[in-house]
Amino acid sequence: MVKIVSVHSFRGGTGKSNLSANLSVSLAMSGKRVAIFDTDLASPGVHVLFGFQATEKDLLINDFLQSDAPIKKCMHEVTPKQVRAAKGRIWLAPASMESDKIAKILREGYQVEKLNDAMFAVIDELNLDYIIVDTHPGINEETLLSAAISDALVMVMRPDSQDYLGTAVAIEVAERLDVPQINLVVNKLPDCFESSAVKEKVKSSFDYEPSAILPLSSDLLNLASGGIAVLEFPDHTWSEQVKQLASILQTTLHASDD
Amino acid sequence: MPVMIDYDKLHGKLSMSKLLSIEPAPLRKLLKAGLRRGASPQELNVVIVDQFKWSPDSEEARRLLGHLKDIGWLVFEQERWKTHF
Repeated sequence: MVKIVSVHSFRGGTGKSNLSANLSVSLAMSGKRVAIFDTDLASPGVHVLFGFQATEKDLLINDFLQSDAPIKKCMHEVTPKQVRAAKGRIWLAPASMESDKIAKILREGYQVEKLNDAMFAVIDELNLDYIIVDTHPGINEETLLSAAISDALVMVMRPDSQDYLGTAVAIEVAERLDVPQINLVVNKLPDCFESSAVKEKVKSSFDYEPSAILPLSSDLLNLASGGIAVLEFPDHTWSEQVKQLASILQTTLHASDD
Repeated sequence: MPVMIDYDKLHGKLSMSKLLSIEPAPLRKLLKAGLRRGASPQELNVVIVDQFKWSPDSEEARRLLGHLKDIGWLVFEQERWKTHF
């Protein structure tokens, strides 16, 4: 049965899109079929990591949400060759980078249930195993809907006081919406922080043990969103942690399927 | 403890932020059940029994579902109850 995983953060700049892309690839590397929805319509970015550049005739998620374009035509295959060799597939519903389309959707909004309907329309068409939703940071109608329909909410935070406070709010909201599973990820951990101490602090702050602690990495900074880290640097600690997160999700989300 | 519904507060257009603030919790769970692919009548009955401790045929259950349908928060389409915003 398909599982929906929303990748969310209370504040921007946590590396949410990067994690969404790498998590999708990690899942697809085990032969799974994954669709990514870029619902960060105000500041889309996940397409960059897959090297997807929309042409004028390409339909994007904005066209579905605001102009009723068929959702299947807004899905673009972005499977990297290593993933294809592993019999996995990845599709992306990219959001528009055109300033007028961004302004239009911010100004006019859209019916949030269309997002729900879009996901369930493509599940059967593409025979999906996972949907990864790269959300807009913070709390708004769209992120609340994404959380409410998710099987798991991956909350991304930095080891920063503002992120601790914001993450607490987001977790409270997710619990009120009965999100079945919450996985915390600490990203951009500087060298000077002790991973075990951060793990303890997260656990004592939220009652959730972090599923992954990802270091602030110069290798990733050098990659500059020009590729997928788990493919470019598969043995890097950052990549190993993302793969561990994918493995945790695969195990826990399917534990009750039998 | 019986579930009490304040019908005076159940009006207007439903939004996710409104759904988040709705009390009591069983009502949130009922509306959440109508997300994703929606809920079959049988699935909705399970929510009524488990969360509200009502019989699906009870007057309370019929009144609540009728009211949610009247205000457009739940719609019945293609044999499923769907939450409508």
